[in-house]
Amino acid sequence: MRKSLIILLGAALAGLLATGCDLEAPGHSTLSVEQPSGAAVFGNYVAVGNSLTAGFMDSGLILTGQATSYPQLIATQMGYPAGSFMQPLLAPPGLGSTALTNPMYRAGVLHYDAMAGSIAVLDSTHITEIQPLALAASWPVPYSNLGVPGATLKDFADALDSSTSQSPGNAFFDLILRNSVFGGYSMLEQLIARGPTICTFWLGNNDVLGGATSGQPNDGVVHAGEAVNLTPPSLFTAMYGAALDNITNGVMERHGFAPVIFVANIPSITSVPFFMPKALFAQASGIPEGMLAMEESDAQIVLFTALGYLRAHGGLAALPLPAEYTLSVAEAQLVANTVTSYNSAIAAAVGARSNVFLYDANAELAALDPMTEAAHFLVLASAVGPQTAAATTLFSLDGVHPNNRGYARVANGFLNAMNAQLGTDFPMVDLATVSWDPTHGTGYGTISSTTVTVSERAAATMSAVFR
Amino acid sequence: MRGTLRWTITVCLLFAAGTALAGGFNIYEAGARATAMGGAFTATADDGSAIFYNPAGLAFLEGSALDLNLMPVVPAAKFTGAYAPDGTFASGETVDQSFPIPGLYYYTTFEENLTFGLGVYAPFGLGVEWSDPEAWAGRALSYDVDLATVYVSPTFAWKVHEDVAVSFGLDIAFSEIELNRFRTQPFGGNMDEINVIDAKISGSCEPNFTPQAGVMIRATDRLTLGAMFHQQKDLAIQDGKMELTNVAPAALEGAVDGIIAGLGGAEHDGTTVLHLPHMLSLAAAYQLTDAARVEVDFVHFNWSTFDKLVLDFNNPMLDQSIEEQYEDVWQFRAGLSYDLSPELTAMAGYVRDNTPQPVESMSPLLPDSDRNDASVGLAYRVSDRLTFTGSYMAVIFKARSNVENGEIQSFDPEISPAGTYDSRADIFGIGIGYKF
Repeated sequence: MRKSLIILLGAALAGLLATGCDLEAPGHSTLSVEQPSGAAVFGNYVAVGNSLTAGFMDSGLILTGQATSYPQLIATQMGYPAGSFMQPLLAPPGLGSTALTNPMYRAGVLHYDAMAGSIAVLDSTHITEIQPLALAASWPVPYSNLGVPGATLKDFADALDSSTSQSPGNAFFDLILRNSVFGGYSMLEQLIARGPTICTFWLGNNDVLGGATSGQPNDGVVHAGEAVNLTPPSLFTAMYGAALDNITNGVMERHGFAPVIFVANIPSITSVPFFMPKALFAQASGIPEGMLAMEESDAQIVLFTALGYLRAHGGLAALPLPAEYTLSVAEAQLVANTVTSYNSAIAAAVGARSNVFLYDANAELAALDPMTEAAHFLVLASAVGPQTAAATTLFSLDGVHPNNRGYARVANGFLNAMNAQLGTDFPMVDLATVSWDPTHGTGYGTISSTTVTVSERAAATMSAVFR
Repeated sequence: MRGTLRWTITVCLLFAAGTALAGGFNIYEAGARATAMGGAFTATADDGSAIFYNPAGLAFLEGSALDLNLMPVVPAAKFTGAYAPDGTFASGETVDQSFPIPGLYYYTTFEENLTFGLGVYAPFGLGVEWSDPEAWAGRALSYDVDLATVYVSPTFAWKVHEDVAVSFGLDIAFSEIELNRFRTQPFGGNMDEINVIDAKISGSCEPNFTPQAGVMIRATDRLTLGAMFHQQKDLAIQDGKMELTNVAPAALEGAVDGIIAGLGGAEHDGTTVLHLPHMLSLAAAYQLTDAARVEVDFVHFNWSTFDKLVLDFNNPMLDQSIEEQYEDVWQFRAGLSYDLSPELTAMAGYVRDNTPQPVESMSPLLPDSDRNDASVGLAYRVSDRLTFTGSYMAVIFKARSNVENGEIQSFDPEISPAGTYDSRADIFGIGIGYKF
């Protein structure tokens, strides 16, 4: 009896110790993730795109422009509290897109200098003083507005910084993707990390604008033997579909739900005042159309920057206008065809995906009145005075990018598409509450010049972002 | 004497930070012999540990004795996180630690019917330290928590009748608490959760006095009934401190410095009240044969007093209210002892210990669950005066997940890791009893 009890106790002890020596890791449970629906769809809005998404205007990024970027306005209409939709805010004078003569300085945005009656760079910043301009540089996570001026469709997936972008030297990649701190995450990866329930995606513009604003758009045929500067439509189609699928799959894999994506298509270049019909340019430059000699004799479109060129080179004496300031018939057709192809590809990509919806920005901009809403500020100003001009046009001084009111129009376009597609009832931005100050605080003064001039430096700033 | 006592308390506090061994963070293991019997000792209580288990038992003892017990506790916990959508999951385990829980008792009989006892033991404690703290999934709640509570209990036991004894005494509690956690922040292009502030919260309580009482009735030659009661405590911690250390990466260091400065600096004073439940044991022991004895105890804890832990700092922005919402529980304890010889006694026990902790407050601070404990032990009487006791108890926790129907059940779902905890503890005990 005693012996057996000892054995029994011994066995019990051995058993207890044996089970105790190694604790096994417990099994898994699984968290389920619900597909956002109803109001939850709008819980986490993130925007990706290029300069148009960044709120770029007057040839640069600046706080006062970013305040009315269309993503910010959409977020506000969705009910996001002020400051919660974080953007890469830049203090005045902002950051323009080109190197100045002195490489130690960076241009700020353009402004309308009322005293001179011309467009000029607001101010410039020594390169060592640029970082303090970036007011939200220490924001710990990717920005809610990931729009990078200059970004192409390829950059969306591949660019980590300026050196790996298709526009080497474009510091906006460094300022907005911040991979000197973050390590190495593309716009796509940063978007996925944020886990957006809804995102806006407006890319592809620079795939054609780079070529168009160079004055020498080339698909390898129009200027055979020279570098191609337009993304071929077949490649565009493939990259566009892949970008949408990478967003959807990436968010699904990491966060367990599919985001809603609203895309905008590519506006025709004829909708924007930067590309001027020859007659209009003649009027703006004060040179009779018959005297406007061009290197490209069949030039159909003159780039706005030609005004700066004329001013710097003595007006009539500078003619004929070099080929880089005009689009020939063939060039204009090439650009138009390319935009059409892109938009067909975008429509097809949207149609093939249940979580992707289209805002037809091209149609909306094409419907603008070229003599008022889509007229360049300086062209209007010479007729109606600068204050009225500023309150009329929807485009900023660079002639390509909308101004504050123009971006409000874009925001309303997206919001309309959301309301129509998702059954929401987001209020529109009241355009009467949004204004654009082309003088950037320097004022209109008392002199109201009717001459239309652009400084050469300003002209360089205007187009550099696309190169 | 006063100095010695203080030293003893300090040493005990140092050691007594044990893992939670009985439901919640109660430690019912106050002596090797009782532990060997699964803690079913309230109706036996025939050594110094009676001062905890039932001081009335002292009244039936004679002479004076010293009972010194050391109960090294070796806890272990593992965590397996729920699958995230991308198929990844967190995991973690506690570092190897052992906590020698004290059970130091002295009693002396003044006259035939009156016995005085003094005990030092640690009925509440907690020590959960997770390895790889910087990466531990639950670090925003806790990566290292220590709670040590030592009771010093002077008590008198009266034999009011030949077969009936009662006791009355005081539980004087000393407590120290320390909690370490990280404030985390998503950072970088991949939104990695990084540590920005290391927060250490610590404090100790003023000595706290509450009554305790016991009764033991020898109902028949074979049947003994016992009951003991230790009143609940509200330990006021007045000297609490929170120390904030900036551990952010260089890119955020300045911003975090600003946050800490904005809070009013790196050090803050605070107060809290720690609620400890009462312990009520109702027990019956039966002498089966001359050699064999069984005991069954039902132990009640009003854990509902531990509803929340409110940390009140001089800067209200740092105030925290940690929801606990514990529930009252009964434990079942059964023990058997068998005299193998006049010198040698073998013991075994079983405990069914239902957790007072709702799943919502299961966390890295204390991942509790229902337990089944089994114990064995041997007592060897070297002489009429000297006894050695050895015990071992295995505390087997039921694996418990805070994920139900795919959703995390937590009072703090933002920072509480979702997943399954599994724990166990091995409690070794040695006791030396010496009768004067």
